[in-house]
Formats: sequence, structure tokens, C-alpha cells
Amino acid sequence: MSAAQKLRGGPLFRVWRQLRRRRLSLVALGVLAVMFLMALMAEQLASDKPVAVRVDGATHWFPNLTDPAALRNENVHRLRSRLRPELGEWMIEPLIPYGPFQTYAEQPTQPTSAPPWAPDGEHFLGTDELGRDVLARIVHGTRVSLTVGFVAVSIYVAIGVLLGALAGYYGGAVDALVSRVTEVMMTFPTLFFILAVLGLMRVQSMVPIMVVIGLTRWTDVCRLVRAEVLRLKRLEFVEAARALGASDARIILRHLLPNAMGPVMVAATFGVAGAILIESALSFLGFGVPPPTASWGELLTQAHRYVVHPGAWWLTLFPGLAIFLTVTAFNLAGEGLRDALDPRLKE
Amino acid sequence: MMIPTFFGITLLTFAIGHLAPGDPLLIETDSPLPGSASQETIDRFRQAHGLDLPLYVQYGRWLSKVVRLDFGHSTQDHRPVTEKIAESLPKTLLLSTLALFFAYLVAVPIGVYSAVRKGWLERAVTVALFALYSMPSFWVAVMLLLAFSSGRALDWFPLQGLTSEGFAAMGLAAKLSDLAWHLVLPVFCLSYASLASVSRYMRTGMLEVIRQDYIRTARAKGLSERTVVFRHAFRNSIIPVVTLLGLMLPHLVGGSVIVERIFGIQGMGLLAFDAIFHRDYPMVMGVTTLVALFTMASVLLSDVLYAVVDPRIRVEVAS
Repeated sequence: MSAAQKLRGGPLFRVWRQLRRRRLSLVALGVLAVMFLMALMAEQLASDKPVAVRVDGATHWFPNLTDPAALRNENVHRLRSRLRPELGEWMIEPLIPYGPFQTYAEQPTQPTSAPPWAPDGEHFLGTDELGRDVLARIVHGTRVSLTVGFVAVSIYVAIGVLLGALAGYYGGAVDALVSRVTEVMMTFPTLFFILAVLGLMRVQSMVPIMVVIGLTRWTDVCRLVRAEVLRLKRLEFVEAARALGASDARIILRHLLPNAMGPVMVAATFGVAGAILIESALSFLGFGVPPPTASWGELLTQAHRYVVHPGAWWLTLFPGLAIFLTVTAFNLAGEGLRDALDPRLKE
Repeated sequence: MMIPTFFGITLLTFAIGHLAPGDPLLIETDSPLPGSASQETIDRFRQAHGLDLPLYVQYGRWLSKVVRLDFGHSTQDHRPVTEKIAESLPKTLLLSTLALFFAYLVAVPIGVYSAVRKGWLERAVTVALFALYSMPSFWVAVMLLLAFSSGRALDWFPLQGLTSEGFAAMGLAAKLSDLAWHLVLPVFCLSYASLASVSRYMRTGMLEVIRQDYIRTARAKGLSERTVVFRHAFRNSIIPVVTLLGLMLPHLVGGSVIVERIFGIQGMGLLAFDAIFHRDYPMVMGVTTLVALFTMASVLLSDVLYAVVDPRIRVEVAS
């Protein structure tokens, strides 16, 4: 069998074939792909430094990433006005010539009114209270949301799988202990708990947020894995493995967990959506990533502050849409994945 | 089963209370003691508050007070924690009860409808519910404020609070209508997410039941579709939805932090938020314990409800 044939018959391919048939899931995957690209290429899309520039007899590649000393005091707008094409100077601009931290003081136009400014030809989605470009901050905020989503979920999937497998496989006292702890965790309102921990510890950075979400939300995965392991361990192939002298660790890792992974992946996909929602809620409440880091929830806090005057609808609508689209895409992908893994659910 | 959970909850809360970087003394001494307090004063303070004892003794002391519902005094205004909670609890209860009621009132018919009927309307409803489910409540809340309260588009609902000025002087009818007027937006924000999930559960439950043999039998007997759906299918599919009630409470409490903050309602959510913001440890621990106990009670309640609606379980318990 060739490698390609092997791939075609493999479980991943089967899932993909099922997934491909659902138009909505494909759209969701497309949206997610765009989000990932936005997170990866945030600096290329929105920056106050050019992607590449030749000025003063030197060529700089990616000053938006490297921030070279020679261009420290420059930005796209300033460079635009002093560039001399007749001397062979040129510049590749990012799509949005504003950085996420660039306040109105560092911008070319000095309007008469105080920010936040409504969308216009210069700032497509308007600016926030410091005159920072909303689109630039949304693009850079993607990074925070996706990182928190994926890392937090990875943490709790690891915890949930470990505890669930142990509880399901060994039963008895281990199971009783794990089940009690799960119950306690489930009675705590997650958002409230996370808020209390982060607020009292007075830490504002991405790592504790991810860790705390990871430490509180593992209960669903744990219960899923426990139930799957309980079901699977009575099947004949496990007995066969044991008869062949396989150790507990080998049975759990090689035989039980791979078979229990389907529902876990589905739960994890939904989980990323949940974690992104939690992160944005934390940022909204002022307990999220520290300023001046761009985050979707933080823009909505400002929106609330300016709800009456000047009624900054652009601060509400666009960051909210970004959250909504991402969360919906993850939920749809999760739904598609569930149907693809379990064709019985389809009518 | 409830007792170990209770201990777990209090232990976890106690742990939160000791998360402070460094010594709780440093927070306690913020105001009452000057920065140059002598070692002797500090020691006396420690002794007075039992901070020199080992952690497990401190936990035991705290727990024995908790059992007597004594959570100490708020460090913000030195009022008893229980008093402050008692003040704000009714508001949150009112909000969450109404939100739950509203969610079920709308979600159950929608769930039944979307399971029984097929067509474009059913599909549209499903998509709309899915979308609702993915909308962060703080976004919806701010959008609603912008549309209905900011005076920019429609000026229909108030911006903040539960009551207007001069509430105390109003007659009963005026009071009720004023309260209702203030409640519309917050209750909607609190309930739409549960609305979406309840109707999805209802739909799944209904779809499962309707495929079973006894439904086919009922249809074969020539019963009207109405009787089949409501007398036979509905009764059995409502069971998992009822048990959901208890599990939804933690989400409502979490949601109330956001909704109460946005709408400026002095309930438990805002109380908790302010306590966390001001590092008011006794307050945070009091609210956390109470909320967790509340949730535990509601899980118990949903078990009881389960038995009420499903005779099979009652038989098992009895025998």
C-alpha cells in the first residue's frame, strides 16, 4: 500500500471526507483559517512601520517586525512624505498603516475633536479613546484570543484526559476522589471563580489567565474520558491486550485513549470557543491582558464607557463581531466534527 | 454526597482567600496600622486575628464561623458581609428567576416546534439560536444600550439601575411597572444564552423520543398529531430539560457579574465584582461560599425535579 493510499484509508481522511460534505463546516473552517492568518501576520497587516523600505541609502526588510534603531522615530506616514523616488527610494506599506498602539499624537492628521473618532477613509473602523485604529487593534487582538483559546484548552484537555483515564480505568478510591473533585469544580461558577483568582492575585498577564481557565474547565473532558474508558475497558480488545501482557500504562495510552479521542476533540473545539468568550469577558471587566495589549474585550469596555457620548457604535459593533465570528466558527467546526466522527447522529 | 462537596467548596474558597501574594496582614494593615508599625504591634495583630496559627487551624476556625453564617466584616465599609449579601441577593434572585422563566417559556415551544416541523422556518430558528449562543452577553448588552438607552437611536429603556428616582413614593402599580421597565434589557441579556441551549436540548430530546416505537403506535392508533406530540412525546422529552435547570445556575451567576455591572444593578454579581476589585477578602469568600452552596442546592433541586417528572426514578428510590 502506498503512502497516499494509506492516507486515504486513514481515520483523519474519513473525518475530512465527512466534514467536506457540510457546507457550513467548510465556511467555518475558512473563517478560522483567515483568523489564524490574521494572528500570524498581524504586523504585516497593521503596523506603523513599513513591511520594507529603502530610505537614506539603506534598505530595511520587515522593520515592522525588527524595529531597527535607524527607523525608531519613523512611521509610515512620516516616511511617505520624506520618501524621494527620484533617488530610488521606495516603501512597501502594510495594508493598514497604523500600529495597535499608535495614539493620535503620533498620527499625521490632527482633527479638531477629541477621540474616539468615527470610521472614515483614514480609519476604516474608527478609533478608540486614545485615537488608536480599531481595525489595527482587532487584527492584533486576534493573537491574544487565539493563543488564550488554544493554550487554555490544551491545559484542560491534558488534565481532563489524565484524571478521566485514571478514574475510569482504576475505579474504586481513585474514581471516588476524582468524581468528588469534579463535582466541587462544577459547582463553582467558572467565570466568577476565575475572576476571583485573577483579581485577588493581582496578576494581569496572559499566562495566569490561560492557566486559571485551564485549571477550572477540565471537568467536562474528564467526565467524557472517564465514561469512554469505563465503556471501552470491558471490551474484548482490551482483554486481549492484557492477555498479551501489556502494562496498564500501555493499555491506557495505546488502546483506550486513542479510541476515546473523538469526543474529546469535539469538546476541545467547543472549548476553544468558550475560552475565547471567557478571555474577552475578563478583558471587558478589566481583568484581562494588561494594557496596552490589544484585546477584543478591552475595546468593548471602552464602548460601554462611550455608550452615551459620543455613542461610539464602532467600538461596539466591530470588536463584538470579531468575537462573535470566531466563536461561531469554532462552534460550527465543533458541530461539524461531531457529526463527522459520529455519522449515526445524521438523519 | 453533599457533605464532601461542601468541604471541597469551603476548602477551595479558603485557598482563594490565601492566594494573596505575601501575608494577609499586609492587606489588613493597609489602613489601621501605619507603615512603621513595630514588630510587637504586628505580632499582637497577628495573634488577635489568629494569623499566627497553622493554616489548618485557621481553616477550622473560619469553617466554624461559616457554619454559623458569619463571614466577618467587609474591609470596604466594615459592615457585616452577611448584611451586604442579604441586601443584594434579592435583586440577583429576581433577575435570574425571571431570566430562567423567560428562557424556558420561549425555549421549550421553540424546541418542540423545531423538532416536529421541518421547513425553512425551522432552519431559520435553528440558525438564529446557534448565533445567539455564540454572542457574548456583554456585547449584546452594550449594543442594546446603544440602541435603546443612549438616546441616539431609540430612547425606550433606562440606562442604569433597577428603579427610577422617587421609587419609594410610587404606588404599587407604578412601582411594578417601573421595575419591569428597568428589568427588560438585563433579563433579556441574562436569558438569551440559556434560551438557546435549552431549546437545543429540548429539540434533541424531542427528536430522540419521537423516533421510538410507542410514538409510532400512538400514531397508528389514529391519535391526532397534537395528542401524540403533547401527551406522549413531550412528557418524556422534557425530563432532561428539567434537570438542566440546576446546571444552568452557575452560568447565570457568572453572567450576572457582567450584566449587573453593565446595567449598574446592585446585586450579588456587582457585589462580587467590587469585592474582587477592592480585594475585600471576607466579602469575596462570603460570596463565593454562598454562591457555591446555592449551586449545590440547585443541583439537588434538579435531582428532586427529575424524580417528580420521571416516575421511573421515583420507583427506584422507593424500592
